[in-house]
Amino acid sequence: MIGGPRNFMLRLLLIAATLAVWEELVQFFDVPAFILPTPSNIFIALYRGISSGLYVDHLWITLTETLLGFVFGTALAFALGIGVALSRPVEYFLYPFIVMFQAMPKVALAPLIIIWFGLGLTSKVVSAALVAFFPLMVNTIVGLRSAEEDKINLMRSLAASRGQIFWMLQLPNALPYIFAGLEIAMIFALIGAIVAEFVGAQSGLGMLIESMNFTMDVAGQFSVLLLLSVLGLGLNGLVLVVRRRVLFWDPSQKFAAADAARQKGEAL
Amino acid sequence: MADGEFLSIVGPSGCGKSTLLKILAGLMPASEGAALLNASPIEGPRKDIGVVFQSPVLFPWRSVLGNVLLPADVQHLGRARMTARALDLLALVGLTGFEHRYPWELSGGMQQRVALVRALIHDPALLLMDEPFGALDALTREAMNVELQRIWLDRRKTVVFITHSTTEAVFLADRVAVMTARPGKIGDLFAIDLPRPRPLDVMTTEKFGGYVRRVRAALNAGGGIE
Repeated sequence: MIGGPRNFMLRLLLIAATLAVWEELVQFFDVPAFILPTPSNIFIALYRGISSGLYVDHLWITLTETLLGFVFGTALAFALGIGVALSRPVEYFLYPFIVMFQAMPKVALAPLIIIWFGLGLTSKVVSAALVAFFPLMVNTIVGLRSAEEDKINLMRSLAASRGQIFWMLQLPNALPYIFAGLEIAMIFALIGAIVAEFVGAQSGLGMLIESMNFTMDVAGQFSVLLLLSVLGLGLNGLVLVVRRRVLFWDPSQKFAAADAARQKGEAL
Repeated sequence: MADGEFLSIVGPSGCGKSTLLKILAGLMPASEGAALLNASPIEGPRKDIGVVFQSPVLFPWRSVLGNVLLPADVQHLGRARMTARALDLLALVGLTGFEHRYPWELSGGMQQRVALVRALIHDPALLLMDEPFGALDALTREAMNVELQRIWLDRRKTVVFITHSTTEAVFLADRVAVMTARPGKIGDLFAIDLPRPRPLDVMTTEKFGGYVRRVRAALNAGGGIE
């Protein structure tokens, strides 16, 4: 087994060594700061950004966009996913639209979304929602259809109604897939918000990266990237905490479902 | 079939045993003829039938008690009264203390006993069992046979028990029906006249061996075993 306090220390040491080598190499070869800054410069930029309150304001904006986009996108995806999974006519008529949209890289719509919804919050929420939509819809459909035939037969043999089969069997059975979808949707929502900020925005971490790019503040960009990683980790952790509570009964399956979903979700 | 009778059905693979069970469970319509239960035809799923499938088919998000109470939830039977009944039945199969465990914490034999309790919880008039012990190892299977007999003697349900195993069929049943393939129909019927409760030792007796031989011969005649 890998792990334990000794290996953990080794891991920290490896990170420290990497940073030290990076620092030394940049100084030794005299690499200009606008190409590759030293780790110490990045941390200084991060410290200044946070202590001045600048990063916090922009972080708050991006977080709001991401969460709103996540909520709207996944709510719609869940509702449509249920419709498609349970109703053949809904599936038949929606299928061409689904296939077309799924094949399209959603981030390519960002410029259009800015034109339609302006430079403010709305366009970022729409972009985040759009990108977050598909992973959850696909997983909802797959999950609701994954109930084993024996389980359906058991419910039917008890004279269960269609509604009972849905609430007591299909929905709980789909939860591992749904949570795998939510996990991806959360990260995708962040991507959707950042991309929309790149294209046109007045605030947000994506806008901050863009404006730092113009002033060649590469250390600043690295520090915002670091902040975005932490934000992504936090958002992912949020979903994981809820999942652990809801899916306490599913110790193994969820990882398999998450892997399967991740592969499907790669079409961004 | 008589009320309270234990009928075993044996037959080769593909002779329609499972189809027969699905018809009895109301999960599919009969192509001709009709199945009658208490003089009323089985035309769809009914609330007075309990089914035990080949695999336990437990819901992993429900505890043992929750799984057992599934029929009560579906048929709105009142949880309080049914919980008392569930605990009684769980005690009968030796699962007291496991009510709040989850299916993955149980062995295969224990899971199948939970499935059996679930099939009995709404006090069905007819218990259908489709090779319920087929997936268990031989020792567990024998133990489950003894246990099923004990429960049946205690509750006296009408049971239709489908199996591949001739010894299991003879050990459990009042009568053994042999099904033949293409067309799938009931061929010979054997009344098993052995005193109950039957201990496992009964399998070594000459009389038991005679029944098994005759059932097997009927299976062979029907083209079951080459």
